[in-house]
Amino acid sequence: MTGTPLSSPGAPTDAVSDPTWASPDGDPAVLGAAATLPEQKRPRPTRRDRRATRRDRRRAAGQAPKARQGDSTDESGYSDVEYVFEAGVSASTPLVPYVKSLWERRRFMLELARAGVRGKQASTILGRLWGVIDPLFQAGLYYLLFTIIRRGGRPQDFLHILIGGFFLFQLAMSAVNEGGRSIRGSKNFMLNSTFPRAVFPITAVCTAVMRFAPSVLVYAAFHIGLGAPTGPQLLLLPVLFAIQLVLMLGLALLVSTIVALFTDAGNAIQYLTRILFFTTPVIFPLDALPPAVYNALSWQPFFALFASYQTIFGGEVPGLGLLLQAALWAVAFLVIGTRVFLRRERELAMRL
Amino acid sequence: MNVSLAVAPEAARTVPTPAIEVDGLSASYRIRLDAPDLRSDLRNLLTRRRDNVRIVPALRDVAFTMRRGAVLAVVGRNGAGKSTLLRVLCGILMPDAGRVVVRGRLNLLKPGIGMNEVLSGRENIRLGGLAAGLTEERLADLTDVIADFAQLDEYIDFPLRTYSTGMRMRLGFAVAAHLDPEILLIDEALTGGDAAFQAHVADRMAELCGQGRTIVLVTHGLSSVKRMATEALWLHQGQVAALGDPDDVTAQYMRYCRLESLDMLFDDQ
Repeated sequence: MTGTPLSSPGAPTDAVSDPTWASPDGDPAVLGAAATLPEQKRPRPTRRDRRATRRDRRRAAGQAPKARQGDSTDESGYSDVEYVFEAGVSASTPLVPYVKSLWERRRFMLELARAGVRGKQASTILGRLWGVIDPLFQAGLYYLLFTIIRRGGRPQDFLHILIGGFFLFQLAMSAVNEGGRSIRGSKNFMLNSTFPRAVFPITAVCTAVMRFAPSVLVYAAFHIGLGAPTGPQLLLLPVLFAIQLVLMLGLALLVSTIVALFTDAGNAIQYLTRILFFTTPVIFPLDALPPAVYNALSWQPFFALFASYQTIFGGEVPGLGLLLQAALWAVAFLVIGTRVFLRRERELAMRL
Repeated sequence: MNVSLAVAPEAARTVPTPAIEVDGLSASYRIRLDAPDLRSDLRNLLTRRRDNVRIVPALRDVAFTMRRGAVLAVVGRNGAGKSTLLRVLCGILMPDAGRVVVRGRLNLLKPGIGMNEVLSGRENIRLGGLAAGLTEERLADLTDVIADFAQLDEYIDFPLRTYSTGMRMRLGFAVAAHLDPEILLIDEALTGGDAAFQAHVADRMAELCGQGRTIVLVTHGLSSVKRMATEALWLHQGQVAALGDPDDVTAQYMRYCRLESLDMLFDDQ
């Protein structure tokens, strides 16, 4: 439920004692009204006015419901929950109760994600097999490209690195794409349900991960089949994958908010993903990069993560600096994404 | 605007705790219109004029109080702000002005929202229950009850995409009517389904109303307003046109609609 009750027993809101309640047709200003309708009526507002108006609207929208909750139910059998929705009060949704209410919906998100995976395979004969066929086909295509067309062009031992990196990159991009569109794409749901809105981007990331799962098997087959190096460095893969999950979650939250607020951003995602594709070490080996290019690209948020993947697939252990850099980017995106999302969450439904 | 309150604020104080208090509530939607051609797009981008953004007032200075156990029917023409009112009541949309206080666990019931085409009826019941925040144990108890209520027989295990419109509505209502919140906001749930199911729905609604729940009911079925509601609210262009006894309010609304007899709006059409 969006109106997450804050646990502050003994701190009743001022709803009952509110003196303005006695006059239902009182001056709206008394009730702390934010800018309402006159935005278009106001004669030629200055830029500063407009900014203030926007800020007020934002405040009104970003307001979190005040609520108190106890375990008790009163004599009428109603639980002691109170939601107050009021214009002109500013606050972003508080983090801890929000995460708690998300945690309560974990089964829901899981079911929703499962349904999302099934949606792609609905009423097909091969059904879930498509989940394996798709990565197999893509890996096969790269295999052909490498062994036949580019014979002798690049070292043969780059092929499995390419396939592995490509699968992981695709996963990241589907999190950005589907996570990014998740809020805007759920208009009906958004306008008629009250659970925390972060359910949508999180579910989109879950769906992407579930769809990715068969690729792991396909990659493993190629890794072994191509005689790629195995060793303890492979144990680092789960760590890197965890970093990638954090990064994807942060990106999904951030991008979904931006796309919900500015429709144009939805159209821009495809350019973003293409830029990321060509600046992330997926299709080119790290050692092929001139130092200047390497240094420039290393500032890209995906660089450290995928450079680490490439190093591990190649049979070596990535440097601690690289791992730290990858983790820092991921955490930074999660923090920024969460902040932006929580600040704008209550505004999102109004922008659809 | 002066509003004739069904329960005047003074009287409200003597009632222990109202379930819903709405005061001076205004809400609006912001709508961006697409420019007709490239030149207008450029002009909108380059100049600071924003003549493609409209602010549509959906609710204007709405006020009412509901005691616990009351059943409020909200009537009005399409676009009068009925669904918006429900959305503000459950915190989906934020008010521009005024305040809303809701006391009790609440749930917005818009049947069929979020139902998934590829999942079976039974799986959709599960999904709907989880969306409403039911626990796993409660769901295990309820799934069969809901499935029985929907009367879908073997269709309950078929994917939703094979359902007819009426069957979807039956499933949607069945799920919605069994999630037991204390405050129930129902949006256009009673329509659809065949005559037999309508009777079934009416029974269930009577049952729900009798359990001390507070219910806000948006409906076009004026006979169900008379049958179930303890109060009625007529919204017209976002404002309260009438509030009070269901018979009086529906009579006024009907007069407005220039309908002489209830028969012409017979039921839930």
